[in-house]
Amino acid sequence: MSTAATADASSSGDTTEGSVRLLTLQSEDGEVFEVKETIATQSVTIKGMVDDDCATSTIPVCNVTGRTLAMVIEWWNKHEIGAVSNEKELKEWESQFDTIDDKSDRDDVYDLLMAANYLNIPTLLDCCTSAVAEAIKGKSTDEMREFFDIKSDFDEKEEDALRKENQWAFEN
Amino acid sequence: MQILLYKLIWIHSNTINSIPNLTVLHCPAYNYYTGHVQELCIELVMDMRRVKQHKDQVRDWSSLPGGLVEKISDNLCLYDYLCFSNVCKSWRSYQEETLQLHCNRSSGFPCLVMSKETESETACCISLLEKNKLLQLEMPTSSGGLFLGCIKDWLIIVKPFIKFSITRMLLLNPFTGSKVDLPNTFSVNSKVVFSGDPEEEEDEKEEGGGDRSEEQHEKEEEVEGDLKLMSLLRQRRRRSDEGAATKKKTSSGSDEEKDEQRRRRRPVPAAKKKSSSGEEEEQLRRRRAAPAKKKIRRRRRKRRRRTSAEEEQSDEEEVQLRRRRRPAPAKKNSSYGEEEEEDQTKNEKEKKKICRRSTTAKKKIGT
Repeated sequence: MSTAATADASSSGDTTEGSVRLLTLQSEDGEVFEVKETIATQSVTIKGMVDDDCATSTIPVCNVTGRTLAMVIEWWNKHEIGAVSNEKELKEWESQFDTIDDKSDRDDVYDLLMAANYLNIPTLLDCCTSAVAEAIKGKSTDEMREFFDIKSDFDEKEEDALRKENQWAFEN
Repeated sequence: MQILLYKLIWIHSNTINSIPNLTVLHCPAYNYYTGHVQELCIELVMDMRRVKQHKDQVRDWSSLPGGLVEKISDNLCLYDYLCFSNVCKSWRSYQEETLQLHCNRSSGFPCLVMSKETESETACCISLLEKNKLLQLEMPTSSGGLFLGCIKDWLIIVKPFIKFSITRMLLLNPFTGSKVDLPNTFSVNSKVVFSGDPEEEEDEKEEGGGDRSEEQHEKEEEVEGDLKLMSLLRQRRRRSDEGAATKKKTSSGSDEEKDEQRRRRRPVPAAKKKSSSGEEEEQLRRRRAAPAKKKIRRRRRKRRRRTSAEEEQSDEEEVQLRRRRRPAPAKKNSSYGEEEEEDQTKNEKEKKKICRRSTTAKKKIGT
């Protein structure tokens, strides 16, 4: 989850890679990444583009910043078949997504969620959504609001009605 | 050298209160350094800008796409799910579509419910899925009762009244507040079990089965004592006689009756969620979703119809035999029963209606 991945990702996009085709992805803020086709097709959206032969020139990835795209590419690299031999190692690496108590981590997860949604990457989507769910487990509605930094848009009456609705269960 | 540059930029950003423009870097002071250093400098500034942008960007979780909200809520247990969907209006709107689905996946919070010996309006629950979290369930109707059994969300509650040496029995769904009163019994020594889901029984009634009396009784229980058996048998007979008539009455119902029921019915929180048009939709969906189940039920019903006539005959014989054999308790029972019988029939008609209403509410909450 750092910008260090940027360098990593761009260096992996070496043009002398033999028969493996390289795709050029451009983030919203103009950063360009070169990624192996085999890796990038983990995204259903990009796979569709490749299948339709639309991926010949630079692919613009709107709504995704360079920073987030670097993280996504790091994810792809880890999840490429044969990239990580040990299942346990992969799980360990994934576990860094589990702790999102920090505001900055939460922001990262939000960005990744949106990117994974846009690029349609099922594995990343599952990982992020379960991480969010894990983080809010056992929290009350107010605590969740605080966690997501959301202000309640219900008025007082509605708020009361909601509270009554769930009256059958309250924490001791 | 790099540190020096950082310092320069840091001073700049502090004095101008923003990240330095690239044009600043082209001023003669910076040109003093070689081209390579200049490049490095530009890169650093770009980096700082990116970080600033990243921090400034507002992340509005409440405007998360619906698909993502659903995916997150898929990982939550029922209790957390309800809290989650109350966070804001947009999330709440997804709940209306997915609640039924969520409940059907039975990812609720399996609880151990304990009856309290003292007269208490709450029951203690231990949620096993959530690291033995302790919950208090509000159940005013259960006060002073013992939980003898359960199926799905329903509990069988037994309340002994030592004074009158009778036992009150009722079925209660703590989540919707719906309850079904069962006939009083004299003693319950053994375990009480359901033979089916009370909800499903209700469903069949709504579909217009005239033979519901048997089905309802099957869910009752094995209870010791001849008296109990006899009152059951008598009721069964009476109900099968009145079955069709009751059905008609309950479905039409005069305004007076309806008002009275409204008064009698205790507030069911879940009912609020439901609009009347939603009820119909829900039923339709349920019917479409489970055609196989229905077929089985119909077959079951047919089989029952065939046997019901025979059963009734033998039932009557049995009752008469027992009466002859044991005159004392039979008399006692009949005198008690006769008085109550009229009241009971009235009450039961109403209760069935209430029950059906609460069932539709319950459907929303799911099983």
